[in-house]
Amino acid sequence: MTHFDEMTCLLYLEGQLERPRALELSAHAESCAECRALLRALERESRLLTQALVEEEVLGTFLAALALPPSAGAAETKHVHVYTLPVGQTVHNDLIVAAGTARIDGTVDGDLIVFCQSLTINGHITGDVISFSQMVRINGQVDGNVRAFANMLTLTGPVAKNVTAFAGSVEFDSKSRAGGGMILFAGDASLDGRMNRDLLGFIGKSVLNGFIGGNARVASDRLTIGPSAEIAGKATYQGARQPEVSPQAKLASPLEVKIVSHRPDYTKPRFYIGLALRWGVAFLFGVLIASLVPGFFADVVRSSRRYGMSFAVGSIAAVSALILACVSVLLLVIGLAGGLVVLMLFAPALYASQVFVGTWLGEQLLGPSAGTGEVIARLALGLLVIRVLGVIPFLGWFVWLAVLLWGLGALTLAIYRGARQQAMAPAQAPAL
Amino acid sequence: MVDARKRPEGMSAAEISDAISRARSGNSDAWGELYRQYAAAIFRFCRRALPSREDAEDATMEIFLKVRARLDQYDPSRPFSAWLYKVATNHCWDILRRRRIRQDLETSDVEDLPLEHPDPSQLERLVEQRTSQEVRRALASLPARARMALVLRYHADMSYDEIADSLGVRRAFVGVVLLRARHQLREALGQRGAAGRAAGGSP
Repeated sequence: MTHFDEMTCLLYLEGQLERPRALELSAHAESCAECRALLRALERESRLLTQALVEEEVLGTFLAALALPPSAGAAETKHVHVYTLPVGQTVHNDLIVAAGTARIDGTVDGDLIVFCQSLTINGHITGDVISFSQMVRINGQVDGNVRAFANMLTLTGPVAKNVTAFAGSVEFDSKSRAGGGMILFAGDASLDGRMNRDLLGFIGKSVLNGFIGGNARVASDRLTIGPSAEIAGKATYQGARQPEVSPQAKLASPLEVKIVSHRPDYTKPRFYIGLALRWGVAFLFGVLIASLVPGFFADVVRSSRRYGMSFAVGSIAAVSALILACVSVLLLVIGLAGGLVVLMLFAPALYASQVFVGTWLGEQLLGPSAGTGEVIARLALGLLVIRVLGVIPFLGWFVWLAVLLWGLGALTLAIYRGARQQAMAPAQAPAL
Repeated sequence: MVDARKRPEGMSAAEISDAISRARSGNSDAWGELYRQYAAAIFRFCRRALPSREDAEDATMEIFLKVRARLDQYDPSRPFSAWLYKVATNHCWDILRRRRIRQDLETSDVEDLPLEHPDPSQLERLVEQRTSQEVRRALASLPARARMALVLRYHADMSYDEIADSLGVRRAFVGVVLLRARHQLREALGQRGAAGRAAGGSP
């Protein structure tokens, strides 16, 4: 008996044969073990192909590694490009997701911790939501707190407890509810929903048009209180511009307004006294370092001469310290102690950066120094230059950023070199 | 395993067609819904069809830009996903063509495929021993058209007509292209450690 060829068998399996030919083949296969075996093997191959092609791959980003704090080893973790928890499905555990896009339509019976670009929650979270995401949209129900670090945070659903957000832009629409209060650090915020307790906001531009059950304290560049706003407690505002308050808004007591100007007032002597004081403190700090650890001081100033390298290393150090701080915060899940320790070690280093860069700058202006007295003179001049440049509106920020990264880099380089020298040649005296 | 295209997560067919008509009239929320609905699937498709993850990410962005710009050309009487996949296929195919890694562009070499009867038990053993990951690695080493054909059929679940259209071959040839691709895949899988071959696929 002649067998059917592989092509025909494949077309048969794929439903591509014309009916008479297909009937012919199936009749033949009934009595032919070999053709049956071929059909079965091809069918299995198809299945393997489909499975291999449709299966999701694991996303191996460093974010995925960050998402695995050892303390949360019991939680369910997912690292994928797109994570979806479908409607009707429940995760009976804490869920940690690192993904490009995460969408939670089902139920998480525990906390949800997410690192992703875009997070949408339509389902139900019985614990807290902690999110480090670019865009966060919460339409579903959260029975715990929401802590969000986001570029954009949108809330349209009920949150049983508090909301804490560090966000570029925050939008809580009129359907949003918070059983507790809110603490917001945001570029702009539009709050149209209800919160039962206090609002504390540090917000660039804020619009209140909802219900606040407690006190509202807002530090903002500008504040608008809309016609449907209702504040049951005391309302205080501190900011640069006069707030706009709609006459229809229901406020338990008149809004307390304190206008403060963020811009330094160059006409007042206070400004110059402040400048001199801050310069003095930085100068004393520098003198302290130079006299306590003169060798190290010289090392760092030497490192800062390689400004390109210093700058690069400084940027890396700054970013890693920031990540480290975030991770420590996460490890203890908002147990801030670890994060604060990192920052406490980091803050003096940042403050010291101006000392080293200042000395370098002084040397550029007055020439290389020999002896402690000359170093201190250069330090004083350099610091003064940085301080003066630093008060230039807008540009001053960049001056400070450059100084911080540069000094931090020089410091890191010097520490690194010192450690290496000690390890490699302990007897060798450091070259001048 | 269900195929990738017939599994719209979340939105129902009615919701999708509603979102499309709103998106066509310029509603960006509706467009966002569509994007969320399909972006993952299209990314996975591109990931399979193109050599690297970065390529797939770029391609996904570009495909959605194209789709958005051409939304008014979509014929609502046909399934949206089919149209979307068609745009995606053409886009990926263009990328591969631009890079001249369609070394098997000519159909002539397909015609001298020997239509032999393979040993079923040997094939079955091969299929049983290989994991999906090995299959993916072997797939990546195949020539662009063979890989594309398998992806269109077994990932995007396209019909033979659609595949013929996308690859630019006659419909009668689709089966041959697929079978040949399977043979190449078996060969790649058969050589111990498909990784060794991975470099040979795209010069």
